[in-house]
Amino acid sequence: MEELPIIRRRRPGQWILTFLVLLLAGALVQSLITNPRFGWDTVGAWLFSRTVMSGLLTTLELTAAAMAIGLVLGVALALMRLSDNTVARTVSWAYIWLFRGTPLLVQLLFWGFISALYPTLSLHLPFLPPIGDVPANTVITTFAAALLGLGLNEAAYLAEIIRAGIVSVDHGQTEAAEALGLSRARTLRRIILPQAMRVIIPPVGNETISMLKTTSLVSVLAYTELLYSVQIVYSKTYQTIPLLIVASIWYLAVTTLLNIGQHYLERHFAKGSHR
Amino acid sequence: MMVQATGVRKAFAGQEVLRGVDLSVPRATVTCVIGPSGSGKSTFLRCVNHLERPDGGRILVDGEPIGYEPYGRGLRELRRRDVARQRRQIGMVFQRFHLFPHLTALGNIVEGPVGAGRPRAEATDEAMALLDRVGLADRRDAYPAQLSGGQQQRVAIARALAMRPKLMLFDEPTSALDPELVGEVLDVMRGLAADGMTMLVVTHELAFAREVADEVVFFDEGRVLESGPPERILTAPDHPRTRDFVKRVL
Ligand SMILES: Nc1ncnc2c1ncn2[C@@H]1O[C@H](COP(=O)(O)OP(=O)(O)OP(=O)(O)O)[C@@H](O)[C@H]1O
Ligand SMILES: [Mg+2]
Repeated sequence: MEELPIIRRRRPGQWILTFLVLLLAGALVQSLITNPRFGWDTVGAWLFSRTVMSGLLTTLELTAAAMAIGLVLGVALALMRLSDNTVARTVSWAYIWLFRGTPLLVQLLFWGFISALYPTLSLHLPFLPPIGDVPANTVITTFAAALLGLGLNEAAYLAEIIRAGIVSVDHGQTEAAEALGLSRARTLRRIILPQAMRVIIPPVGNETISMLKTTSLVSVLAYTELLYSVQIVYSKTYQTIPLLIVASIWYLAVTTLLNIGQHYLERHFAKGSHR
Repeated sequence: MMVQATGVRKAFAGQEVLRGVDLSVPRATVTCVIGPSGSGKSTFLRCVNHLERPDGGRILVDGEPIGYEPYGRGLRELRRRDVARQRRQIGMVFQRFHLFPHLTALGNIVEGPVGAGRPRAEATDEAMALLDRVGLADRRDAYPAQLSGGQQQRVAIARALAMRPKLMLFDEPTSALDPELVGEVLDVMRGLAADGMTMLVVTHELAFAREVADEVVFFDEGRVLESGPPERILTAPDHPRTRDFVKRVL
């Protein structure tokens, strides 16, 4: 048979759609530029200001620390839920029930006002003298309260994500590892978790991006992160929109970086899954 | 005796799957287990390395009770760590390979020895020798998904051998393979048998059993119905059920 050239099919619908989208985008850009009320000069003036920078730094710190707490505790809770020890399973279940079942805002306020509930912290076990006796608000600073609130809540969500990842790995993998005489810890670390990662990473990426913006809730503890720092400014200058744009630009920038990081992580853990 | 099982019983949710299995495998011999689907062959094999916990009876491997230790007047289950130590001496090959998909062929083979505390360099040298033995030295860096079924099963055999087991268990090692790939796996198993490995093989490959087995055991409804040399079991069995089965499979 004679070799025939392949002719690409034309797609007029796609051309029309592209044109319409460009038209709309153009209109949007034009209004962004020509509408003076966006206050782009104000945006420029505040974008790298010391106030905003320190707010951004706090947001990044809170996000990283809360996710770290959430991941460590989340792995532990997930393993407890999957263990054959009834006590561990029940404790994990109750933790997740409590922390997912109440609003994060309430949890943050609870940690913020814990010194009103427990003015001093000490451990009283039956038949033993009390251990430690320190004022609550020297241990639970505002930063600690913010971290506890965000981290402990996040752990409950991450626990469920990690558990789903672990159970998604074929049981034959565990059996093969057991048949080789691998220890339980090594089986988890070398065989199960690396495979579970493929299922775990996308939702954890989601959670991290969500956490970046959820940190703004700690303003209820008068803790100054990115959003609260611009709110403080515009409550004085009344330049609300430009300052909200400043915050949004930074949130978008960090989210973009997180997306890129997630892409490389996913690629790393996809090893062996393609021909 | 390498394996000595007496009166092994096992039920799943009240349904008896093993009803008193007696079976022995002498050192450096090959025993093939045949029998109809659902007769408990896999379950028994999995009891031998304690992947399945028998409800009764006992299994000795090289004289050591598997999964249990004498305690008072009875037996009690061993700690996980001790079960793991016992399993390192028993290699297992699964019907569906169960290679670790995120590790290369070489990575799959060294994982067990390194986990058992052997130096990685030494384990790697030995793994290369094993890959060579199963004819896959040039595929050391391939991931399982990049290998054919027959190649995957050969890597799985090398992975089990890397623990230097004194007993090898095979659960229908060729059943998941395309017909043209069965031969390469059976060749590797023939080589092992010739080198004096003690093997317990569940299989439907009666021709292989006839050629390699020292003893063939016929399982039916959770019991050993009869056993003996392959010539007898595969050509002139005592039991009509064995006769039916052999006729159907051949
Ligand atoms: N984990 C389990 N839970 C419940 N029932 C099981 C379990 N494992 C096996 N069984 C049942 O035990 C019986 C024996 O199964 P087994 O896999 O040992 O048979 P087999 O002889 O290996 O069969 P095949 O030739 O099909 O592999 C079957 O009826 C099976 O459904
Ligand atoms: Mg089976």
